[in-house]
Amino acid sequence: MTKGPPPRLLDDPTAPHALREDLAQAMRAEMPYDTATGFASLATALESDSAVASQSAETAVASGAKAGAKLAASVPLAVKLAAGVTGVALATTLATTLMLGGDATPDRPQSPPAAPAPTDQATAAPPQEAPTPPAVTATSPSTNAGPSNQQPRAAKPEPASNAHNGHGAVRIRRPKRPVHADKTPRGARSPETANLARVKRLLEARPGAALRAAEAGHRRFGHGMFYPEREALAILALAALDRGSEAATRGRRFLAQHPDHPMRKRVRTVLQEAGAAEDEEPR
Amino acid sequence: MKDSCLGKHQVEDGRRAHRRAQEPSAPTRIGVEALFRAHAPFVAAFLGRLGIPPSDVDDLVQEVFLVAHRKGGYESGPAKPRSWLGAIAVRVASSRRRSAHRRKEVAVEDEQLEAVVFPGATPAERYQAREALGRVQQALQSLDLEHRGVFVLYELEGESCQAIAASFGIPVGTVYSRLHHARRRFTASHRALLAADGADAPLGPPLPAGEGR
Repeated sequence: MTKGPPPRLLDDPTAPHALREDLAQAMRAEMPYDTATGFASLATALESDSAVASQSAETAVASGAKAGAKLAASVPLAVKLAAGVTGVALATTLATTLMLGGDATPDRPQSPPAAPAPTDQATAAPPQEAPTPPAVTATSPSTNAGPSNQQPRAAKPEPASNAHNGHGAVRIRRPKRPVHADKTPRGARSPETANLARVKRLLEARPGAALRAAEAGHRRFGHGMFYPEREALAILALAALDRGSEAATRGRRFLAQHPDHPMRKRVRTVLQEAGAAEDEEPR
Repeated sequence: MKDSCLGKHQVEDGRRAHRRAQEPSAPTRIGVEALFRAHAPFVAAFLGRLGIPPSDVDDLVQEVFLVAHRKGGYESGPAKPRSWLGAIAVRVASSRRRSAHRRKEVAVEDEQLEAVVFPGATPAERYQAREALGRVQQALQSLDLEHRGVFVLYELEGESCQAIAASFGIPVGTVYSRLHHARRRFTASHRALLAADGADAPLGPPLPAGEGR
């Protein structure tokens, strides 16, 4: 099986002609997708995903600790310490797994490096991770703080060394902290997401209101995360209001600034229509 | 020759530095937001090609990017962003299929064809393109999801076999093998569809036995 890759059917002269033609047609087909709306939904989904992960982690911690406590109560004193350790370890494992996305898939071992940075801006992780170490150290008075990124992992072996019956529950809450660090961008992001959703919602029925909402968004959030989407929707609103020249001016600027933006086609269509309208006008 | 002028430790340091330079640079990560902006339309189209009805595509696009987010975003490497997202999409679509009630394929296909646009095509061209796309979609449905994913990524999206292999976590040989089977089945299915349509388009030469490798 060390052969090279086969030629693509489209380029394979031995493939049936009709098949190649059909494939070429299929490649030309486009499935319209509203990236702006999708992006807004994704932002909301990411927020709730983080919230669910946080809650699940807490639940896992509580149940794990309970299990440890139950076990400890039902066994002889001699094995209490060991049982406590088991419960704590189980809870820590569960909490860590859930923190990683609530999905204990077999390929999860690849994910741990990403776990401490649940924010979607992985490249911008360092500034968001910065608040993590103090938060973690605040809940782990008896442990020596390890590297901030590895807190959930480092928590595993530690309970064994200093698990004093019920105290494990406090320590194993530590994995929760990185998720709470995610709250900062969450709070900052929501109003902009809501504004974008509002612009989108108004666009069809009330383009004037959509334009006003988009301009308000520009004033409030400036070149924020959703600036390109908001601007594209504003251009569409202008076109819907028959303000073709304004739409064209802003559209050209948009295409120059964001040549690869997924909404470029819609903006380009607006530009073409505006150009055609100008040509048709006798003035 | 130069080495002889340097001390043993300096030579060793130089070799180590050289080795470090030879090593691939640290992988760069792309956050899910940037990924979404750049590739969400691709993911939507890809899910459509996998046979996901348009009414479900939005939800599944979200799921794909949520999984991508949980994985910490895309990390540069042999897997390219599209093949990586494609592999996630195949898994997401597979789990959706397992859990959801399976819908009538024909209805799904009609729904898909209605949703698709052919930019710049005249009505006549659009009609022909719809017919062609219908055949391709139906032929794709003769493949199971894993073969379909590999086939679409390679044949329609132009991804390399290495990128597909890295994305799915399978050897390149397995990609070749899946492609081989997928192409054989797809071609046969397409030929049958053409025959059923009574199309007078030339069927072309039959595929040689070793085709696809």
